[in-house]
Amino acid sequence: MIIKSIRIKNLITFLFILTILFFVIGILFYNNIQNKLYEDTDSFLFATAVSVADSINTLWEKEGTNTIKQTIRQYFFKIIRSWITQSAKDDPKLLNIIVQIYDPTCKIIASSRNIPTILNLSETAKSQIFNLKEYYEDINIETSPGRFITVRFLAKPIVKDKKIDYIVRVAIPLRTLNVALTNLKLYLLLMLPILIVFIGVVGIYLTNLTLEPVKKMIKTMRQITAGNLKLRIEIPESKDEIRDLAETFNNMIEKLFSSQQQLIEDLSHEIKTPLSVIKGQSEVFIRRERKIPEYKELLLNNIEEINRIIKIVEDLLVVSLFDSQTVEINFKNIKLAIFLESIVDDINIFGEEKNIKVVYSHKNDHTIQGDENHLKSLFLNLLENSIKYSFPNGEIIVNLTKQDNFAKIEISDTGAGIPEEELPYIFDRYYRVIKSKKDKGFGIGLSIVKSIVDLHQGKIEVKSKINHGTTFIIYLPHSS
Amino acid sequence: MKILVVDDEIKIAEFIKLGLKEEGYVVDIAGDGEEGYFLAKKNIYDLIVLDLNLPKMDGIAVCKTLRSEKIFTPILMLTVRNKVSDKVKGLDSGANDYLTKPFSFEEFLARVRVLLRKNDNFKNTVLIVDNLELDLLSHKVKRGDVEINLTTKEFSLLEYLMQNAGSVVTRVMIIEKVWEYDFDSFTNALDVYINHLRKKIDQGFEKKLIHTVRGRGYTIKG
Repeated sequence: MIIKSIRIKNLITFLFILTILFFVIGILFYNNIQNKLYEDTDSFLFATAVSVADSINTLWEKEGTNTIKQTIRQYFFKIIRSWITQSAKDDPKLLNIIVQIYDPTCKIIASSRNIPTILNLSETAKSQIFNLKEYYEDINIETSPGRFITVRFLAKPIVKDKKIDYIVRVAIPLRTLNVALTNLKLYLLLMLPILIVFIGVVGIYLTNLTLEPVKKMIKTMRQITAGNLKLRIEIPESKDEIRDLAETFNNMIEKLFSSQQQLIEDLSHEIKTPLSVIKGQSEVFIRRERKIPEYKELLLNNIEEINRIIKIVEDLLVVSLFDSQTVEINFKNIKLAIFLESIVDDINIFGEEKNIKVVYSHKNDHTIQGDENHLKSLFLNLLENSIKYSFPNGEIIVNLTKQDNFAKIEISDTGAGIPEEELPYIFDRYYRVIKSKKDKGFGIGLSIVKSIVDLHQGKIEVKSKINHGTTFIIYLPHSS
Repeated sequence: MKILVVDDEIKIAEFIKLGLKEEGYVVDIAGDGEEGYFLAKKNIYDLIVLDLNLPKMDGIAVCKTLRSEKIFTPILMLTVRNKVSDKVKGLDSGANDYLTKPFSFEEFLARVRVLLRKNDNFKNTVLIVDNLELDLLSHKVKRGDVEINLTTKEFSLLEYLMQNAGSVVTRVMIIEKVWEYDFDSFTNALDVYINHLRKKIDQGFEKKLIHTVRGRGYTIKG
């Protein structure tokens, strides 16, 4: 679906921009051509008018006696012969150049054509002429009933000593000009759909070409599932963003794959150790008859190892609950001082085996908002870890104090400590990926601890010195 | 036969020790790589059972170091890792065999026997002195046609004497080979066991096989 929408989005944007651009360019081009053609026509009209006036003036001077009106009436057709073909005189289709002469009061003196609608000057024309200015105008002439042609007129006053001697009016039909402009308009309008179709097809082709590797990638990605993380996207040969994307994706899958692999490996190791004990012990014991107390001991041992496995499995379940955010949360006010005391009491039983004492001290009580079960598992996890890594006969100190708006709980042991380079990773799920060849890690316990602290909007810090011990510091916000 | 078990999982080390002990082997335990290396260098073992993942010094390192110091005691490596590459790494570092946890104890014992048999000292699986026979595999002892029942300790003691048949073995040698590392050599346990052994082997026979060499130790000869 993504492909389609990208393709269509691309195409529509592209075509939209193109159409607007084409329109703007088309209109500019059309106007430019139109102006040029009109300019051309107008300069022709002007030249003709000047030429007619020149001829009249020349004749008039030569005659000397005649009034200008007489001269014009006498010689008019002679003068204009060179512009109008006689044969075309009455055929409107062959309408060529029209020449008309008016007196200073705008009364017609002579006209090469006797079309009544053009014999009189319009009021605008007159006012322009009386201001001694030329006046251009387009007039539609009915050549036959219902058929018109547009003719462009130039009325030019011939002025002598700021007085109008007479007025020359020349006209030329705009047929050629109009045909040219109409054709141009037609071409432009015709070209637009062709262009759109062409660009559209090319656009789709190019988009397809670009998106082809993406399509392939999506096909491969669809086949990649949690159980099929070995599949990789074929890296395209191009050195573009698509290749970058493919490589990034492959790297991501690689990371996922190896961390999934590592998690499974770690878990299987973790479970295999107690299983080895159970299996080995039982096999050794079954090889010969034993006394009842020995069997008892074996069973107790086995139960202990089975509990180890149960703990691993339960931890894993809790992690997955936190991960999928489906963990059950039940917040209420908890009085930390008493709460911690009961946990310390519980944990002291665990410590007895290694003769480790958990000492608890607190200054005034703190009430926080929290989930009792989660908080309990948080502290039990940390304390069990502390006992596990403490040297025998050690002491674990649990101290509850206050810092700003937080209850601050410190848990210090005198154990083996955590190497400095490992400290940043101990709360990670995949901690053991980075770490160590050791089989005994913190398991996933610390990852759960972190999740619980986050759930309570608290903070957890860890300080450690090899062979001196580790201190975990937990900050939990006071209930407001 | 003396075997060193190096494993940081105390429970695993302990059941291996128990099982081996009941098969007549003498077993020392080391809880980490350094201790294992120390014991393997200091004492003479017939076999080392070595866990791959150990604190302080891992199994690979222990193995390599021992081999580089010309200690060629057979090593059976144990690990929870069952990837081929891990096995190859273990074997390449100088281990003779490789077993993944959890393992079947019967298989473990069989592999232990194979490694002990391969050891150059034991081309033969049956030791014979005069008409006394000791089968290293079935752990059966016969004098003539009479089968003799021995405790595991007695068996180990006899085995060691018969391996060195004809020559004198000192008290120290016996204690090193037959007893665990932490055995208190100032007790008279050795004399007690020799007496037991004498009773079971020589009593009722004309020809005595076990002899005391005054001031030096013991010997067995036909």
